[in-house]
Amino acid sequence: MNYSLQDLVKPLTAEEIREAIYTLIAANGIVTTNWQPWSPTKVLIHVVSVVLAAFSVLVSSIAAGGFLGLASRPWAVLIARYRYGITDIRTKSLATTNIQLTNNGVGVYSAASGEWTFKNPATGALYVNTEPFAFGIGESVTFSASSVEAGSIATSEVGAINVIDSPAVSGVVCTNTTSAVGLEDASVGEIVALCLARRDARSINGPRGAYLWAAQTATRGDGSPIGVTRVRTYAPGDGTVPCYVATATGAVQGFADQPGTDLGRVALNIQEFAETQSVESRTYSGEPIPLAVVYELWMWADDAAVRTFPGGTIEEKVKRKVLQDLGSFCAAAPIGGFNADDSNRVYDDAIATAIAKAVPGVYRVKLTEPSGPFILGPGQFPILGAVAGTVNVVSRKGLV
Amino acid sequence: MTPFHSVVPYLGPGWIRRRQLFTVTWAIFVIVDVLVDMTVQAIRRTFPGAVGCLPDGILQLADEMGLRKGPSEEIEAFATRLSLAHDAIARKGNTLELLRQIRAYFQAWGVFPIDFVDPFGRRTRLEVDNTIIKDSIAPDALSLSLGLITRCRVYMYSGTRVPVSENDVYQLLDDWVAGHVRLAGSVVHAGSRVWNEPELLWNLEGETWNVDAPIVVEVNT
Repeated sequence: MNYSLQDLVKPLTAEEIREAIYTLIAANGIVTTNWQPWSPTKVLIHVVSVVLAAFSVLVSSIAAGGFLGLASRPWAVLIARYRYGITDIRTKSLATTNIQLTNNGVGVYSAASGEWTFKNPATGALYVNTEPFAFGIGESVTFSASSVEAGSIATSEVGAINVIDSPAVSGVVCTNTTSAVGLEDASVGEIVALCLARRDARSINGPRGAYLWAAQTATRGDGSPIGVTRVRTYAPGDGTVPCYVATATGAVQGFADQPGTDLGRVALNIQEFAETQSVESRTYSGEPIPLAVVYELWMWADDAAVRTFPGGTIEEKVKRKVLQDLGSFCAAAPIGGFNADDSNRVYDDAIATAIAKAVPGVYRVKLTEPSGPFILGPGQFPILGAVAGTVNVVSRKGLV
Repeated sequence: MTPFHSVVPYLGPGWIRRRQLFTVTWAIFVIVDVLVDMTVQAIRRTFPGAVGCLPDGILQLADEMGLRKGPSEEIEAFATRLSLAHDAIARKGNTLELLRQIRAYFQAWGVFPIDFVDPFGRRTRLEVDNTIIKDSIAPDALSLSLGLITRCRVYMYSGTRVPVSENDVYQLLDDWVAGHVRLAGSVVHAGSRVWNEPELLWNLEGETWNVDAPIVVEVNT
C-alpha cells in the first residue's frame, strides 16, 4: 500500500492505532465489545497503542525531515545548517525604537546606556536606552532603545511607549517616535526561502537568488549580522542591477560606497558573491513608509483560546495580539510591496486577513485606514505605523 | 509490507496461539508493519527517481529546489531532471542552461529549436539535436536606441501551439535568467510578421501553427 506524503508526515494518535487494532480483530470474527474495561487484553492493546503512537511520531518526523518545506522548525534548522551550510537562522529578536523625552519640569538629567527603563502600559513591555543622553530644562532628546524581552511581545506602535518605568522623574514626557517590532524565530517558510537563495548563490552567473543571499548574509566588520531580511532587485535593462535592501524593522544605515557602514558592507557582499562581469550592481537602502492601521473587529465572546492570552481584559488581549501580528505582517512585506492585479501594493484585504487571523473567533474586520490598497513606490516598504482598533465582543447567547 | 504480522504470532508458546490472543498479537503486528512500511516509504521519497519515490515526493523535492515540472512532462523524466538539478542550478543565469530548461519544460510537445537573442542581434540557438549555433541577426534597434543592452528575447519554433499560460512561461524564465535581465515576458505570436516584432496573441490554445512559425515567449527589457 502506498501512503501519500501528507499521511506520512502526520503522526497517528494512540486512539487511531487502538481503533485500527480493534477493527482488525473484529474483522477476524472476534467480538470485542463485551470485553471488560480492565481486562488484560484491553490493557495490553491500550499500552501497545500508546507505544506505537510514539513510534508513529518518530516515523512522521523522519518523513518530514527529508523535506525542507514539510519539516518542523527544529528539523528545518538542521537541514539548513547541514545541507545548505546556513548557520545564522534568525532567532527571536529584540525590538528597537527611538525614544523621545521632553523635559517640561525643572530637573536636569543625564543617563548612561541601559540606565533608564521605559514601558508600554498597554502591553507591559519594557525598553532600555541603548545610548547615553543628557537634557536640561525645556529641552528634548531622542535616543535609541531596545526591548528587554525578545519576540513579538515587544512590538509597540508609534507613541505607545509613553511611561518612564525607572527612575522616577517628574515633568518629563516620554514617547517613541518609531515603531518597535520584535520578531519571532524565522518561520519554516523563511528558512526555505533562504535555502533556495543559498542554492542560487552557487551559480557564478548572477541569478537573482544570489543577490538575495549576498545581501541577507552580509555581516559587519565584527562578524555580527546586519539583519537584512528584505531584498528587491530590479533589471532596468541597461546592465545595472539596482538592489534595494532593508531589515525587518527599517532601513539599512550608511552609504553603499562606504564599506565601514552597514549598507556599504551589504554592497560589498553583493559585489563579491552575486555581481557578474560587465554588470554593475547598485545597492540602496529601501525607504520605510509607516503603515497606519485603523480597524474595527467583531468576534465571539466565548472563544476560550482568547482567554488564555496573558493579562488584561479580552479587548486588551485582542488588541495586543493584533498589534503583534500586524508588526510581523509589516516586517514580512516585501520591498516594493506585492504585485497582484496591480503592482507595488500592500493590499487592504491582506491587512484585514492578518487581523482576522490574529485571534480565533473573529468573524468580521472593517478597515478604516488604509481605506484601499496602500501604494508604495519602487524601493519603498511598509513599517508598522500608528495602530488603532475597536474590538466588539459579541455573545453567542440566543444564537444557534 | 514487512512480514512481522505473519511471523511473530507463531513465535510464542502454544498458549499464546489460542485464537483470541493470536488475533490480538497479529493485529498489533499489522500496525507495526504499517509503521515500518511508512518509514521505508518516507525515506524512499527523499530520493527522486529511486524505486518507490512517488510523484508527491518528487514534486515536493522539486519545490524545494525551485524546479518547475512541465505541464505535460512525464514524472520519470522530471525525476531525472530533478536528480541533476544541483548542477543545473550552479549554471543559473547561463544562456545554454536557460535553453535546456525551456526544452525540458516543453519536451512533451516535441523538440524544437529555441533561440536566445540579445539586443545586439547575437543569437544562441539550441537545435533539435542539441547542437549549439551562434550567429547574428538584425539588432533590436528599438532596444538599443533606448539603451536597453540586456533586453533579451527567447523564441521557440514549434509546429504546435503549446497550451501553457503566460504566467507559467514567465515564471520559468524568471527562475533561470540572470539578475540583470528583467522580464516582461509575453506569450506572443509572430505568424507571418517580422519575427522580432511579435504580435500579442491571446486565447488561441490548441491552434495549429505553420511549421517554423516562431512562437511563444518574449523575454525582454
